[in-house]
Amino acid sequence: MTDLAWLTIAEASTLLRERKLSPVEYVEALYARSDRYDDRFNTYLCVTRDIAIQEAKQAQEEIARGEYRGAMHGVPYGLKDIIDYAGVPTTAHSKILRDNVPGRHATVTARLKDAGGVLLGKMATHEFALGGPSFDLPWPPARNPWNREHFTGGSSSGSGAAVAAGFMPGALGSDTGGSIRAPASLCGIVGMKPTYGRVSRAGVVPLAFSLDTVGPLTRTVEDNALLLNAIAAHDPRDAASTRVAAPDFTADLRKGARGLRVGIIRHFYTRDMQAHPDVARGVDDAVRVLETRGAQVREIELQPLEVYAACNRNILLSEAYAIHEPWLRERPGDYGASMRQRLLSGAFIRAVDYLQATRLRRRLIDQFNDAMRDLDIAVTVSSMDPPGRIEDQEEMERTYPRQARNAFNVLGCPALALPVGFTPDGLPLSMQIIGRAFDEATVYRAAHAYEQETEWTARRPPIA
Amino acid sequence: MASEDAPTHAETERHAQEAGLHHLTPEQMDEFARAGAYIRELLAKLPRDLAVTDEPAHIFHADEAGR
Repeated sequence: MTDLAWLTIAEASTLLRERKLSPVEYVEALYARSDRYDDRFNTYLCVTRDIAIQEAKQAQEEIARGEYRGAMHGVPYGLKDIIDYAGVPTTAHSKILRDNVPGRHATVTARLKDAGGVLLGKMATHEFALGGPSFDLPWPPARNPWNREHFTGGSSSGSGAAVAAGFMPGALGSDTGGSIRAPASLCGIVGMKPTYGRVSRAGVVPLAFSLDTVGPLTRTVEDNALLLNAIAAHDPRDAASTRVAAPDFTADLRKGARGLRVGIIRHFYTRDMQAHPDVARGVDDAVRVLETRGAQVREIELQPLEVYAACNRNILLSEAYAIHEPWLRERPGDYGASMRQRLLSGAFIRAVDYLQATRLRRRLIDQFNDAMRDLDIAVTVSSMDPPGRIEDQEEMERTYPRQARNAFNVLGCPALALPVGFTPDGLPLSMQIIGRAFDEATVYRAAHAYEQETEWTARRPPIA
Repeated sequence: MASEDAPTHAETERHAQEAGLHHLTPEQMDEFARAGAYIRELLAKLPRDLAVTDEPAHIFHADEAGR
């Protein structure tokens, strides 16, 4: 049998359904790999071995009885450690919540349990999904499987690194200013920030109420759509949850690129910021691939990146401060320095600045919707640079804001990061495909069409 | 931003007290000052040309993203 570490969700679910693979055997193979290698990459904060074995046995018995539940039945996954699983600590990678044990599952956890998924563990994050990478927290930061001296991207760092390392086929992360797409980009995998409101945040430690989203990280586009199928639905526990029905996100996967109308947002990485040449070339080459497969491509113009960034940070830091103010007042020393400094920024934002940013967001959404009126998707860079060296503070500070992700948190639309190549040193390069609100299916269609023409998602990091 | 616009140490300390941040160490007070400088830079990039006729501030709701 194929090395179980590199099975896709789609492959695994076929084997599981046909009883050619036992869920227990699958879990044990993945744990054997992470037991051997995770001390290099620090992806896990908590290994939930007892839960995994119990859930895998249950899946095995159900499948044997013919009670197959669907694509996630018996499939292992990880949760960013801001997402609750009842009885397992949710620490947010912070001393502040070290002893926090939720009594109830997050809605996304409950949905994965109902789908027959198997929880392998809780994954490293930047502190409270914002501060990092940090070396002054109770646990070390995750490391990049392609080269452990390099940054994973954050904040869903453990989720991204574990999927890239072959420790699990999929994991959930959260994205408020790019935190699913950054680790997907820097770890060479696929990460989807769904439309705001598409996936419930109930039972997920908030960072910024009006920007937070939860979404999947996987090694392939199809797997990403399968995982989103399992978690997307209306949830009365989340006030922002949409009533727009979730379709089958795999339905359009094989329709190809022919006829897709693509807008390329080139000024984000040529004028507003200058992307590293390898990154720019990767995106431009990817667009040419879509074009040769029948897509119609034209350049579009949006507001400068710094306008989106200012809007995103203003809203994010205000809302985060509102959440953290009591702890900042009473326990400032229990945060890592990176998180504390970012949070303290919120004390300087006036009510009028926050409110003007929310009005500006409305205007930016209208402008984007106008630009997308005769387009199916837009394409641009994700990170402006290849992964930097994680212990080089100067490089981290320089590259951290050099990204084009938080624009799409402001806009609320779906945005997916996927690999478009590697640097000469073997570090991943990535681009974003952006869709109209609630049209994740077309984003997946374009991404899958590109993926089928390239071999990037089939590459493996040099771990063993 | 120009250095002459930067608040004095005393002003930063007063701001922290007014915000109820009574337990900051001297090093954390330095972080607080750097956070303030960051926000002043950030706010300078926020467009100020919103008109009275622009929409009022409101709670952002999921379904509005696709409006």
